[in-house]
Amino acid sequence: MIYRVFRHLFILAFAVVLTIGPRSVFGCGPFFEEAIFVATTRPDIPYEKYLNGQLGVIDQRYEVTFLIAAYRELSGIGLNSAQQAAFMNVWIGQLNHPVWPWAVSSSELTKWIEARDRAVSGGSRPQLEVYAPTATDSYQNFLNCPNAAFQTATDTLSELVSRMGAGSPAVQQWVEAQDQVFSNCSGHSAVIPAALTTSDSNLMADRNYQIGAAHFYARDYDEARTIFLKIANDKNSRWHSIAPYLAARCLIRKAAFAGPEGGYDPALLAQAEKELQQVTTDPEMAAVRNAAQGMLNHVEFYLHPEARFQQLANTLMQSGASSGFAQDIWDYRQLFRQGRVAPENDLTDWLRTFTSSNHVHALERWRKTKSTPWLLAAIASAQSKDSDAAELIMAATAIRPTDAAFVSLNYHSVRLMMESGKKEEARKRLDSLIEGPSGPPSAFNRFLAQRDALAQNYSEFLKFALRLPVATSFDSGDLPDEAVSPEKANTMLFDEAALILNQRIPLNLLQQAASSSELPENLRKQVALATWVRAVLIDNTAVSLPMSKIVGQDWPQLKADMAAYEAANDDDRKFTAIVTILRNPGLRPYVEPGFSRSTPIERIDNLRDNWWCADLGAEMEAPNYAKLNGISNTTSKTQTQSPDFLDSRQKETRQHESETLSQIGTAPNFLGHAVIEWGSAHPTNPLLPEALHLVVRSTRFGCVDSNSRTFSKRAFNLLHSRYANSEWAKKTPYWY
Amino acid sequence: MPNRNFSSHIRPRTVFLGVLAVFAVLLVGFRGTASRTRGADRLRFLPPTIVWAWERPEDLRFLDPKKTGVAFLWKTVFLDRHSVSTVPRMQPLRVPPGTPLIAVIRVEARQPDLNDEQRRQTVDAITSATTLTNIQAVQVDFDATVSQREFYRASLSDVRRRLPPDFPLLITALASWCMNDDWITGLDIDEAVPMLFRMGQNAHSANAFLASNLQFKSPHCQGSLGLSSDEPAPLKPGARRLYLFHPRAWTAAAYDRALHEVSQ
Repeated sequence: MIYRVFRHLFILAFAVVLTIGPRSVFGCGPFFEEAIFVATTRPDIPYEKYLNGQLGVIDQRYEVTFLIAAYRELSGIGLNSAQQAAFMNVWIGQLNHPVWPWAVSSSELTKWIEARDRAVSGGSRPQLEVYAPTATDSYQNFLNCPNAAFQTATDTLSELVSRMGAGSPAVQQWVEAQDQVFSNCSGHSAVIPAALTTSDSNLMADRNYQIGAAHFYARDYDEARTIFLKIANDKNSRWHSIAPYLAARCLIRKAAFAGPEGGYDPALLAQAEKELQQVTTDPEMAAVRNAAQGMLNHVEFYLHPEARFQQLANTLMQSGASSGFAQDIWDYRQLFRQGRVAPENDLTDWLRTFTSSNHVHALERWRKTKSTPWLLAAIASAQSKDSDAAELIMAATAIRPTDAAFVSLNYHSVRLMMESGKKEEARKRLDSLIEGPSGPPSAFNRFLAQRDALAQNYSEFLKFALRLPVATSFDSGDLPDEAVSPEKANTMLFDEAALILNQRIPLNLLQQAASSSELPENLRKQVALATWVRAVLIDNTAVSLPMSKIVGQDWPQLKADMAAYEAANDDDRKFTAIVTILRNPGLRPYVEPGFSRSTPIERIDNLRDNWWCADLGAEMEAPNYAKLNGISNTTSKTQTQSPDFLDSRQKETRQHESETLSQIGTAPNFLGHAVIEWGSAHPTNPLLPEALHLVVRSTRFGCVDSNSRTFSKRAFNLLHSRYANSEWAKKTPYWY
Repeated sequence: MPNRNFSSHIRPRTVFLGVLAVFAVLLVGFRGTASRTRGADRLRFLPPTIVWAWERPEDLRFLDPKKTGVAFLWKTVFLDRHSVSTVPRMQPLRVPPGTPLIAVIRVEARQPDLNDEQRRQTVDAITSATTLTNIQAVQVDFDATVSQREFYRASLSDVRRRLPPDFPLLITALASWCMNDDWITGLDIDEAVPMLFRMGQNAHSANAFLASNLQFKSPHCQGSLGLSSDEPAPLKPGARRLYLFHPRAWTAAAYDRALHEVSQ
């Protein structure tokens, strides 16, 4: 099982635990590696290039934090290094590891344990448990003692040791008391250190602070608050300047447990807000100002979400860095996703407009502001039928190649030109973009896809059908894409091109591609194999016979089979081909985009990627395993348009081929039917026992449906009734 | 010509060894029967259907506690190279009063040393479930690799020794463990739930195995089935205890649908 979660600071983590749940957790795999040609929910990795202005084609589906960064770049606000680091923190940290970050880092706890063990001699260290149940009989827990608790303890101990000496009675007593304080972290007990009688005012102050902390972790927030307020009034205590902040924290924790399910008690939060506001403006409390401001922000997040959202929206539009910028980005994201509004805030308006493709408003804002973000929002939502499309294309033309918006604006300009039939103009623009300075790989692949759709002939189509993947991904929800490893960075067919080859290109053109050097060798061989299988299935020997020579040369493991196919008489040839297909589970009448089947063609694939399913490869995003187990995310087959370069005769030929192919169905049934029918008429053919065995095997490892059992049983019975003593019957103990 | 008079060729020593072997077989059989009986006895409080409640807010108050129990993820144990860290459940769980509850402890191995200290801490984490209120059993969820099996076996043995005698110890089992890769039969546990979903590379062999109507090899696997609401059930639960996984938070409708589909 896989887990995910997210991260918060200090006590904010505690609050988040109580209020924001982790996302769904899925079970085990299998997860299929997928080649990504265009990143659509986030920019290409590494993100540093994006932060430095290489925005590529900014997609409306990007996670909102990426769009915030894009807005700042497009509007000229930019990002200083601290702000870039904050965005990276959000993207690498919170977005990628949204589950249980507190389990990942226990460095402060470890430091405390090491410091403690160095300072005292002998005795056993009590077991530390930082989580506590939210109630006595609850199975839900919260982070009771966060990292900062151990950091403070470590710092205090260090100071005490340097003042009193390691192993001194004072240090021993302090550590004993601190062990008691932390024993409350588990929530199973309330152990309060005894009051100290000493003339050393510092030691006395430390003990009082420990007593307050012990009550705090024991969840006696009223008593803890009373003690912290007392400390606040004790000017001689070195803790007095942070005590008001701690007293406010008591209110917040109490609010978390006193409120309705999943929420805070608003009255207590309001009181905490008031006190934190005083702390953040009191010069004497400068040491805790940032921490208090963080708490205050958090309180306002819940108490006044609209106002806080507006505040955050304004902060995110400022050029200067602010402390807690990463937290601000994250909080803004949370509130944005809740649908909060921030009137008069350009960033928020742009985000809502851009992501919803609200063309009317985008156009209105662009005409008013003439700003680049709004030009992008307007052109990205425009359609060729819009009267303003030409005006937007013209405006986009004025953008310089060095501008961050250049790639996006050109992509949409070309899109509009294509939609309006200005194909020659679009082609010229694309050719200059493709040959121009290299941008983000996803943007380059988008331009190639547009250019491929404008191909004037078959050679152009093949030329622009090729891609390098920009990333690889596993079927794992929103986990991050991974960079392509060098050994996998091969030229591939992208999805649309593979679909067109499979659905729109007639057999003779496939044969042409398989026989020429227009495709890289790895792809040509795949096309050759698919062409031969397809020709066999639709009984086109004019193609299958010459293709068998090529396939025999390309695939040594098929050489003998291909020779037998060529040598067979007309009556036996189809059956010989069927046996070859049955022997080689990697044979199928279509080509695949991205990573093709990795198991050798003659071997059974462990995840059912064998032969073909009923869709004949139309559902490209779903592996056979997913189709077979009913866990495909693809709900409908993808359909393509016929390319312009095909003439009417070619289109008609392809149409006839499609009609035949549509009758094929899933491989085990088709192959089983063919073998059983042919075998009934040719019972003495020496290949028949093997063929029947292979049919049964295909119903075990292939893409089966409710009818497959019939073919499996019929083949099994035929094999065992007619050829009971054959080696193939012995190899077939069951049907499936 | 073959000699059919067997007795004239059997030596007294062979007879003695044969009798010994028969006794040994009977003894092993008796112990096995006793162990299974004890396991079945411990499990008598568990209802026929149990839903898994994973790390997400779960409101299961729609369940009938007389018919359905809840196995909820209570703690995750991370086995790192040299250390162990645990994270308890952070999300709310609401169940009707009287619901039979099983605390699930998930073990995640991240290339650990699997040393004795890690074993001790893992066992501590699992056995601490007995401190929870209203818990009927503990279930360990650990997809142990071959090299981790000895650690797992030893840990379960330690856990069994530390649990109260009548407290059931359950595990989840990869489908292969219940079939051709049976390494769990000797474990001192009361039930291993075959996880017949998300089976990955085991899918085809598991489905073929199940299609042949063969019984799971390990006796531990014969009393229950683990199915997911989003995958077709490769096997009907019949009289077995049914564990249901759902990839999102449960709802009454999702529960009804899952039960309906499983029974089809």
